[in-house]
Amino acid sequence: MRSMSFAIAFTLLLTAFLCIPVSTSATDDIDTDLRFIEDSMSLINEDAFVYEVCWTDFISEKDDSVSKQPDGFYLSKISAASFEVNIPEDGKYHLQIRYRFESDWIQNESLIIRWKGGEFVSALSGAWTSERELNHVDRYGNEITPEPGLTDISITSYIRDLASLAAAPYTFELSEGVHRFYLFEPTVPVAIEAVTVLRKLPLPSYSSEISPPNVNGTEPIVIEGEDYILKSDSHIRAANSRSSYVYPRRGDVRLLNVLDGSSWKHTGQKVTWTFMVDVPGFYGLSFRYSQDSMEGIPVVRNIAINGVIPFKHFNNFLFPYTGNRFETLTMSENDGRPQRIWLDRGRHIISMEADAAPYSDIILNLRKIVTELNDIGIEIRKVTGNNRDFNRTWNITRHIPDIAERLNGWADDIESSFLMLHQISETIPAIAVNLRMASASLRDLADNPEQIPTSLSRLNAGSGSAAQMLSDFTIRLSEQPLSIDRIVLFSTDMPPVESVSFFDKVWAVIKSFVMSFFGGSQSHAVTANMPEDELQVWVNRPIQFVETMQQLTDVGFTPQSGVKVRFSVMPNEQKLILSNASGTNPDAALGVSLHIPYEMALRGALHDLTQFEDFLPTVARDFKLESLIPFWVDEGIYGIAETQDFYVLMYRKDVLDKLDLPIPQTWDDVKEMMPVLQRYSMNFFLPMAGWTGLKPLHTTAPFLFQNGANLYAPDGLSSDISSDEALRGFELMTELFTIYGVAIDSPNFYSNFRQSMMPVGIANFSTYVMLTHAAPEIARLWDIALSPGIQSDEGDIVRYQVAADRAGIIFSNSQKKDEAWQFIRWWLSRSVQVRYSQAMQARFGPEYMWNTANVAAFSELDFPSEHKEVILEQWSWAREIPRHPAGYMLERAISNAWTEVVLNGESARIALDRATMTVNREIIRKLEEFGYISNGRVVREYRIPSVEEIRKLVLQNQ
Amino acid sequence: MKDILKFVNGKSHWIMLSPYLLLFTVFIVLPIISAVGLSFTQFDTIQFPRFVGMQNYIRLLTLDSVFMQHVLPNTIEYALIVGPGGYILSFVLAWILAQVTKVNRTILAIIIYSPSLTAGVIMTAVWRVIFSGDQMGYFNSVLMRMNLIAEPVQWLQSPAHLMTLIMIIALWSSMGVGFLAMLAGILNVNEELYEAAYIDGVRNRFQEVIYVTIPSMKPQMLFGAVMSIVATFSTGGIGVALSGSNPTPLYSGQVIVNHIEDYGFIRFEMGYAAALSVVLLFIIWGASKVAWSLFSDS
Repeated sequence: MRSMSFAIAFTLLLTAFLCIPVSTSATDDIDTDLRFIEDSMSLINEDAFVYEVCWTDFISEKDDSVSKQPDGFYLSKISAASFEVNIPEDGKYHLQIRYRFESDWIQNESLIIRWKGGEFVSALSGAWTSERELNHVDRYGNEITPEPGLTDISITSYIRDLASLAAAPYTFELSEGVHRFYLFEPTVPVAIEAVTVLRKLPLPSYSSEISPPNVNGTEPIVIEGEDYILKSDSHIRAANSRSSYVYPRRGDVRLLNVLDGSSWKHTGQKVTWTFMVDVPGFYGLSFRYSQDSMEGIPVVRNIAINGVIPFKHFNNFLFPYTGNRFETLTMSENDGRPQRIWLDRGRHIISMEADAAPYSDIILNLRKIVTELNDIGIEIRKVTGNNRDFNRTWNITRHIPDIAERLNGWADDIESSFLMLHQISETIPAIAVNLRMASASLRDLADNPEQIPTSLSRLNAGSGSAAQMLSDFTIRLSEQPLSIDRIVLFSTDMPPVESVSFFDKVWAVIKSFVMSFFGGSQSHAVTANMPEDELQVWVNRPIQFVETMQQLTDVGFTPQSGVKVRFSVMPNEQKLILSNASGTNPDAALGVSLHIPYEMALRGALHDLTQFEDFLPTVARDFKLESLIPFWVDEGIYGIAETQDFYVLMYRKDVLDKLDLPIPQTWDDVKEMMPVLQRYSMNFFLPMAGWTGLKPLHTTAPFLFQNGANLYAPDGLSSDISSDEALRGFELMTELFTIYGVAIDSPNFYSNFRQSMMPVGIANFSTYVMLTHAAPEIARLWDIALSPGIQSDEGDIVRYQVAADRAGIIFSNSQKKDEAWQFIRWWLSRSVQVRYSQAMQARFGPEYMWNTANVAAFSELDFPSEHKEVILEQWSWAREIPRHPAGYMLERAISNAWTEVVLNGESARIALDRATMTVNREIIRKLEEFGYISNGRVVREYRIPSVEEIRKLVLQNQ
Repeated sequence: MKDILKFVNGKSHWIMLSPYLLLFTVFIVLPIISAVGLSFTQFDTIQFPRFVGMQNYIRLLTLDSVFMQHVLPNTIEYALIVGPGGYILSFVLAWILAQVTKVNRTILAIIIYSPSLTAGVIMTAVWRVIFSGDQMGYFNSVLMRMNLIAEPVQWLQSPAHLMTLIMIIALWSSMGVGFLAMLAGILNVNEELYEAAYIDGVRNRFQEVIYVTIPSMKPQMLFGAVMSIVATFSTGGIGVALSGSNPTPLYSGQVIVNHIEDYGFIRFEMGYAAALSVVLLFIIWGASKVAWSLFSDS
């Protein structure tokens, strides 16, 4: 025994030289705080300490040359490391790992740990802070979300199972002796400094004897929630609350005055504050917070002081529902006396970590029920097929004899989950009403089993079904949003009380209403009052996008170019045209819808970008030349693609596996899979089914393109949609609906996909973002693939889809065209686009994906690499729609022809011929209006652009 | 001093009128004049308008097949059914309401009046869900449950159904200000007139309505008629909101207002759109004339 403790002391001494990070000299406040946090994280609880492995003892498992660096074991995606620990006795242990990220960009990173007992993915918690000095206040006096900055501190954290809903460290059950652990596949390169083995010890219970009340009347210590020092995720952010309960508050400008709960809700997300104590003593803790999303169910935080959870009570501390109000909650004992902790004089840290541990059993149980409900739903469909006859009675108990018992069993489970929630929350969990409804549905079905086949909408199909209600609820329950206004440490008997009187509230509302007409509230508004020395840019995007653009531009563009840029949020694109008529238009616009550049250029309102010498080389380097086709007017190019969409096949791996269907490569494959899908009341989604009335050209044209057809004759004098190729495409596009029964109207593919009613379909970027970030229950169950196409004679599959999305333009009446181009060129450059994408995601969360049209930049963005490959390949199949003065007529003629065939039963040839006639007449009329044709004779040549032509222009330019 | 007094006494009505005149000129007269002016030009909202004489009107009558084949028939069908239909419905409902007690009447009047207030908002939110073309649409679901149809019907896309749907919704929301005016008119009819009429030989309620109620409330009837005419011709949002696009599929729900928007904001031919608005102005003016001759006192 003695020799062992000696050994521990020896190890400690030894590693102290090698593994303790060297503190750099502190330069400013935040840096001091960060170093302080870094140091206190690496402090080890001596009672629990068992063993420390320094990186020097790591063995490289793959490539030896790159792994060891002067101050850590360098682990990259392709390398692996292993180490041995000597366990003195059988028992439960935690592992703590100290590491630094060797990457300037991290987002939800992890690595895999494996040992004799198993393998799992462990979270690698990040360490972000805010770049406070940098443009904290915008030109209107509003505080804006500060840029998150990645710190370079060494992070010490427990090895924690990423898939677990609990934030607690993973418990390793290890036997006495030597164990070897392997670390590999970190999602970004990390340098590992040390791994510490700690004994699992129970947390001490709080007892009031250890903290006698000390009333010395010192001022309470107030920590503002928004003044955090460290956060584990970049997008945990401060926000503005206009509530009159919040500190600080001002009516005239927007202050960041709370820590936003909606950005801080996932298990393991942690925020750290520091504070100074002048008078040592026992301090109580109270929180001013708001929890407005889970009525009747408290959210959970683990509260640690100086890196340690001091008492059992601080672990999984519950914050009850408050509604929209901010309320004060004091950590207290059952009799209401505040619990106190001892704080020495000096600097301290407090951290709060989101955790869903109290609910994890309930969530896992409900998830299991959802899976079983879906399975039985498919089982029943296998029996009944695609039968929609509501009057038919099924003897379902003959096929599934125990169905009633199973349903009742699930209902019992759901009800006991409800009771468990009730016990945790000690109030009626109002938000859990879904559970009761689901169990009532199931009991109802159990009582009348013969109705189950016709009532699948109550079981597992559709938005009101038991399965959907349960899975929606589990998603809600696993999120723990908590907004913090301030944390107060007090040494008096009771926490200081702040009350807001009724008149204060009324006055605050009146004041903020009046103020909304002035100053900061009018930020980024479109205005006719334009200073001469600023470049005016209107942006058709929400304010978060514009604020960040302004900030990046002010820092990255204005200093080096000397051009000041002012961004305004465009409320309505029509305003571009109207402002141009009145001469109050900006110099440039970004985020413009695709049809606008052509329409305005045709009428002479835009500047030809090929006038700038470096325009074509710039585009040729980083963009798809195809993306310029929509901006081509008379040998000029009047816009540049800013973002790019993609139409790809999205499919549910689980459903296709179950139905034994391959991923469709061609439309023939789609036709083949349709009967199988329909047998299970499932369907396929085509983008045109999302549009009720007019089917936009970008949903119809790809069918023609894939069949080798063009939309217009090369001279632009007539349409080319009556060719044989076009007819083939048009027939395909209609018979998918008329013969193969693809859904004609499907307003919501996203939810149909989630509920596996449409397990496969073609959808675009916005659906991709929603599925990635707003459908956690099917995460990893779906994937994307190239759009289905047509098998060509050469043997490859032609998969054309449209990709153009939003554009940037420069106005012809601008006085600052060169500056505008200089700005746009800077803005669309590779590094700025990557930087912008990362800034948006870092600030507002991973769902702020940026689909830049700069292909070189896109390949560096934070998309899953397999998906990126698919998207980039689909972009090589991008085929844009050339614009034409009568383009709107072509669009509606094809759409009308589709309606005639699909809904009125007309034959394809006749419908298409009629469409051709209508379009051709309009083409002649429009070309006359724009002076291409006069008195029936062509006086000016019109040319439909092709990518070859643009390529020729590029070559000429070089 | 005397001159000022004389001026004030003689011309003060102009001073009193000036706010109205100013607003009327700025917001009604000037736009109409400029619309008429623009209708003789070719104007693409960006370049300066070019004078083309009567060309827009000639084109409207001779070349615009969509207008002649779809828009005009739709507009007339819509106006004939929704205009008089809504008007008669307003009167009937107002008359029925006039028979019940005050509290019930007020409540029912609010209920009947509210669709005309909320129509625009409710339309997309409620009607599109009800008539959605998949089996999730309420109407499809009910019909399929009752075994009346086997496959979901494309209510919002199919040219065969769209116009009917538009008219039903328009009738539903047609109990507007005209309805309230008529209700007030019916309630204001002098009771003694009814008694006198019964002495003169009126035998039933129908005769009472024809011989007493309607003649006594001619001003309200006229007001209701004019409001209903203006409303039917100048509302066109329903078809576009239901089908989600302008133009509606196969122009099946296209009325003249949609046609104006199509030319003005999709094809950017403001001159032609102005000519269409002038035509619409004349149609409304003519229809109001008919209403005047039916209901005016003189």
